[in-house]
Parts: sequence; C-alpha cells; structure tokens
Amino acid sequence: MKTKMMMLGIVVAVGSCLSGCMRITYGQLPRVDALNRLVAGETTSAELLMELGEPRGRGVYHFNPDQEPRELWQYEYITAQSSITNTNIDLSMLWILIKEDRYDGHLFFDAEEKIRSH
Amino acid sequence: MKTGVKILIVMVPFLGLAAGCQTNSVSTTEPFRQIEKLSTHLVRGESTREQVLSIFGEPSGTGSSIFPPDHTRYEVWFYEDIEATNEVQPYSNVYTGQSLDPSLANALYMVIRQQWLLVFLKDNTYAGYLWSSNVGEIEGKVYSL
Repeated sequence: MKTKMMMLGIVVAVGSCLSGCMRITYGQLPRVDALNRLVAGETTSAELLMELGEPRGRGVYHFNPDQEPRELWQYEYITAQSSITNTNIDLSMLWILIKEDRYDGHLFFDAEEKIRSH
Repeated sequence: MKTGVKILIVMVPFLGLAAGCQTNSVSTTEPFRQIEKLSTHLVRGESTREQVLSIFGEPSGTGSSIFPPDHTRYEVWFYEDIEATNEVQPYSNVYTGQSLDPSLANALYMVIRQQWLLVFLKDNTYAGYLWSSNVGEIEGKVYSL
C-alpha cells in the first residue's frame, strides 16, 4: 500500500511537471490605468515617471514629416506558459510619445493568445 | 525589441519540445490572414467594426491610441499570426544546404512566419491600420534541458 501511494505521488508529480512545462515572464505590466490621467501638452516627463515608472526602452516616433520627431518610451510585458499541447501568451505593449518634455500621445494594446502545437 | 520578444515567444514551445514535454513540430496561432482585404474591402471613415470583424474575426487583444497632432483617441484592435516550424537539421541549413558547425548537433532549427496587425477605430468606424510581416529563421542551441 505504501509503495502504491509512493508511485501515485510520483505519477502526480511528473504529470504536474508535464502539464506546466515552462513559464517565462518578460518585462513589467504597464500601468495603463494611468493613461486616463495623462494630458497632452501638460503632463511632464517627471510626472510620467511617477505614473508609469521607468521605461524598458526608448526611441523616436516620426510618422509625419511635417512634424518634429517625438521621444518614445516603451513599456512591455509578456508572460508565456507552455504545456504539452499549446502555449498561452499574455502580451501588453505601451508606447508613450513625448514632445518638449511633455506627454504627447500613446499607443497601447494587450492580448491573450494561444499557440497550439501539432 | 520586437524580434527579441518574438524569439522568446516562439522559443517557449520549442524549449518544451527540447525538454521532452512535446513531440510536435509546428506551433501556430491561426491560419494566415487575408491582409490584402485591408485595401479591397475596407474604407477609412466608412467601414464599420462589424465589417472588420467579418474579415479578420475577433482580435487577439485591444487597446487605445492618441497620436499628435490632433490627439484624437482611437480604439485599437490587435491581431497576431505566428507559425513556427522546427526543422531538426543539425548539420545543414535546410534552404542553402550550407554545412553548420558540427558542435550544433543539438541545435533546433526554426522557420518562423509572423504578422502583426493593428486596426484603428474611431466611433465604431474603421480609421486605419498598422501592419508588419516577416519570415525569419532562428538557430538555437539547447545545452542542458
């Protein structure tokens, strides 16, 4: 009986391992609730840092040649959970545009995706 | 960033494969979307969200945007299409036939197709899109999984 219980425990442990093979997290979840408090042309970079934290990346936004390039701050977060048959991915991406040290716009989206294997 | 992120994403199932968790060779989200319909079936300022849904289906995610100079707020729909195939070709490139370093005997050779599509909506009306696509290859080596 004791041996059977041990075997059952091993099977459960191995099964749990196989059902959740790997989990990877990348970045930090953007504080998107702060977006509604940002005002274009008014919110300063210092206030952005307070609201959103330090960005993971920085760049330049220049879509319209008639406008000056904007500084771009990037926030992102990904978590991926892999199991036997598929991978679930949660993705959040936030770009903040800054002009002359003031918030000037943003792009945000998040998604939940399932990648299946066959 | 994006490439690094995607490498991370597609590596997950294949790392699982290497760890003995999977025996599969293809990982994918959904079939490739008909991107040409952006220009043939949708009209900016006229097409409805229902028409967008009828072409591309439910988005993988949603969000918002405010861009200069008008700072108009748009609703954002996000679509992604990934398909990654691992080809176990430890000694040669499947396309070029070029020999690889024999030390890559444990390498996973992957062919990756990927698309991103952002659809912008204003007042439930299609307002524009941002689309990117690539086809790439990744070579990785598994040491101790």
